[in-house]
Amino acid sequence: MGVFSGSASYVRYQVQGDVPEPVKDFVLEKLKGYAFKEIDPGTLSEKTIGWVSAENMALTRFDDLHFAKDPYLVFSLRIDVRKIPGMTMKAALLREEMKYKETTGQERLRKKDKDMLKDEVWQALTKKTLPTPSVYDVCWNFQTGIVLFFSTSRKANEEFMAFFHRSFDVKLLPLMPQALATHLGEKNNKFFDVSETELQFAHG
Amino acid sequence: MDNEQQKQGSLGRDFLTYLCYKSDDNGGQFELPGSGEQFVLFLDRKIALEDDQEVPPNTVTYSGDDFTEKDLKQAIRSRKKVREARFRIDKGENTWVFTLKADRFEISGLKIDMPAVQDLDEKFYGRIYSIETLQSLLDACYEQFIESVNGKNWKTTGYPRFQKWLQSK
Repeated sequence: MGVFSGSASYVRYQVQGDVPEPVKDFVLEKLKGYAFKEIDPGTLSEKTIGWVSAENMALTRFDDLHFAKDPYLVFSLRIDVRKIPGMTMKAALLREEMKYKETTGQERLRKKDKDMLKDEVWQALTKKTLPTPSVYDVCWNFQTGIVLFFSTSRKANEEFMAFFHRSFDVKLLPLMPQALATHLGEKNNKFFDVSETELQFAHG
Repeated sequence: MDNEQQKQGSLGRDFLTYLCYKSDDNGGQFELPGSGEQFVLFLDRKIALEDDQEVPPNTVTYSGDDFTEKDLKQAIRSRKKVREARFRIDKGENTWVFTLKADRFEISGLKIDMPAVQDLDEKFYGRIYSIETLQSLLDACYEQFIESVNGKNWKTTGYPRFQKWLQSK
């Protein structure tokens, strides 16, 4: 559901600041540097984030300019999260607590022991849990500085803004009502003061 | 919602309310500034209105064919503004159906009619052209809203006409 197929849902942004020229080479270097890396199954990492090809979410190496479709740059943000289902954690923890009580002969567990068991269970389950990927398309018009992010999830948009800034060293301004008024004013050499618009619309 | 979001949201909700008003009052006819090209915008059977001055916000949602302009006017008269709505735009042979949310101007569920093509680039350029055209139409509507409401004629002509529409049965 994004830039290539399906119904489209997106939020519009304006890039703030200048991107070094030549833009495509600069972006290629940054996509390489911040490309997605899989979670290493042997580790306790719960989340990983990075850029992938919009044409194939498993394509995590940027060796060429396949993402450049003048005047657009098209790639995807991939976020993999390893999350233990709440009930799985609860069942495993209760089982370990019962085992521990049997082994030690204790009737009630101290908080210290409970915390230790919880940590052990969490570690064991995290290593076994497969990451769930989420992929969001990005379309950056480098001539106008407008970026479309193909998700309306608030959390995904927050992660996107932060990671875009980290990767490309430029901030994104969401084109929400006030910002869009300013943007359209600048684009058309007009000044749109919307500070009184609400009042005037409601009361004349 | 914090103050900044509320401020953004109010302006966006006024705009969507204006769009709904215009789509009924003016037969949905809009004109692009400069080129004079015309297009038609109207509500597409789904709308949510909210009075965010109340705690918790008082919301009313309509969907389907039973919803009429009387319901819309009644909700606006009771201080509600349009929080989100599904719109349809017809321009020439092109049609866009989408939901627009007022607070962040998000577009969701945009259906893009495209001939089936295999080439990925062709598919991409067709879709992005459609999206950018839609955005230019919506931007034109937003500019018209700002210029109309902030213009010198709003008090004498625009606002009385809006009120007349609102109070009409």
